[in-house]
Amino acid sequence: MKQFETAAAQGEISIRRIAALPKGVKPMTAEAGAYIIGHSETGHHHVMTMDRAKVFEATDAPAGMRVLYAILEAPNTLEHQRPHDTHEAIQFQPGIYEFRSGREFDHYAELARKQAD
Amino acid sequence: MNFPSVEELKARHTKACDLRQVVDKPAIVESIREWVAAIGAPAETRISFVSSAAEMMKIGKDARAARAALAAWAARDARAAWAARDAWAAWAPSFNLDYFSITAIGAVSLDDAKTASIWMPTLRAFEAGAYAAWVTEDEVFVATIPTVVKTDDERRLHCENGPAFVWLDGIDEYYYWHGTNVPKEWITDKSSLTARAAITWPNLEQRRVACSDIVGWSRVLRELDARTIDDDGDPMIGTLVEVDLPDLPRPARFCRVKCGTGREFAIGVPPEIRTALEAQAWMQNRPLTDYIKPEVRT
Repeated sequence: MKQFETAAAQGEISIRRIAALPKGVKPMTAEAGAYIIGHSETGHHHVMTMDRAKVFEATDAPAGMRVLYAILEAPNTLEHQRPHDTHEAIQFQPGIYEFRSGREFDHYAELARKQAD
Repeated sequence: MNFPSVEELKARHTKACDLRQVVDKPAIVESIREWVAAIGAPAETRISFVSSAAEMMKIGKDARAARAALAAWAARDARAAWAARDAWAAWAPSFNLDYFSITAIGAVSLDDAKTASIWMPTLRAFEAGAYAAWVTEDEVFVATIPTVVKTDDERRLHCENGPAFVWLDGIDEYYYWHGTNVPKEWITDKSSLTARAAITWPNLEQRRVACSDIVGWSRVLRELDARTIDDDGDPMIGTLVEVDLPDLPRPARFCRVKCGTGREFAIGVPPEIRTALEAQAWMQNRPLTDYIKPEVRT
């Protein structure tokens, strides 16, 4: 399991430790005891357990992006739910973190969209 | 009752999970009958085999199986579960033998002979080729293992010249490339997949398979007249390439990059992006000055 201090990435999810929760966020609902930090259309989500964790979603994320924030009161782990080609788990220490789902540019639509996997 | 060791049971279960066993219907019937007797079902319960998706859907609709009984199963109170069957809602779950047979192994590991004796027949049924079962008031319907299951050396579904997974009649065949589900045409008529379709395919995983494996990067880059705009040197930051796509008034730029698993992807970026590092910052919606290279990337 990998550990980091400031910035990390798990697949298309970029992670950064931040000092404070920004304004303009709303609480996110957990599913089956876990927060889906990175949603996959094939079900291979990136998830974090609810254990002493609160996750929020930015209400003003730019087009094609999803920006989440987590307040962790205890160590936690971001797991990738895929049985093959699995992105190794990343361990988090207590703190506040930002998660940005990667975006890409659709040349035909001429707009940014979420990197779908 | 004496049971095999946990190690032996795990090995048997693992072997059965390869789904390569020869289907032995009489052995399945014998084991399922033993199981339904153990859970207190009526002795006259019939056991039938399902061969098509249409049958499965009808049985699923008719089967009476509710959350109350599911809770009872979870509590390992088999008789209560059977008694609760009338309370089950409209959706009808199947008992996946590969999953439920693990209960027997767990019970043996806990020295729970009663539970082990109830669920051990499901392991034997699985070993004999039973895959799923639907339970109604007076009948248990059994579907046998898929007729085609092809995998690569890492046990990922994979077949380069046909479906990797075929189950009941009427269910779509599934085509996989090293664990990634891909459109049928990519396997059965590889020449139908063009370089343009490959590099602009909406799903990243499928695009990776198309560009890297089926069409091949060399053909994609050659057919689209790709030019390297910037090579960062770090494969996880990537190479910025420019290609000519049909019907577009200006060249399109992509960042070819490796992820933490070592697989290569092509991510579309706006035409004004000038370097691979700038592309990485754009993907995160950050100015280049605010971009921090990840300490770890998995």
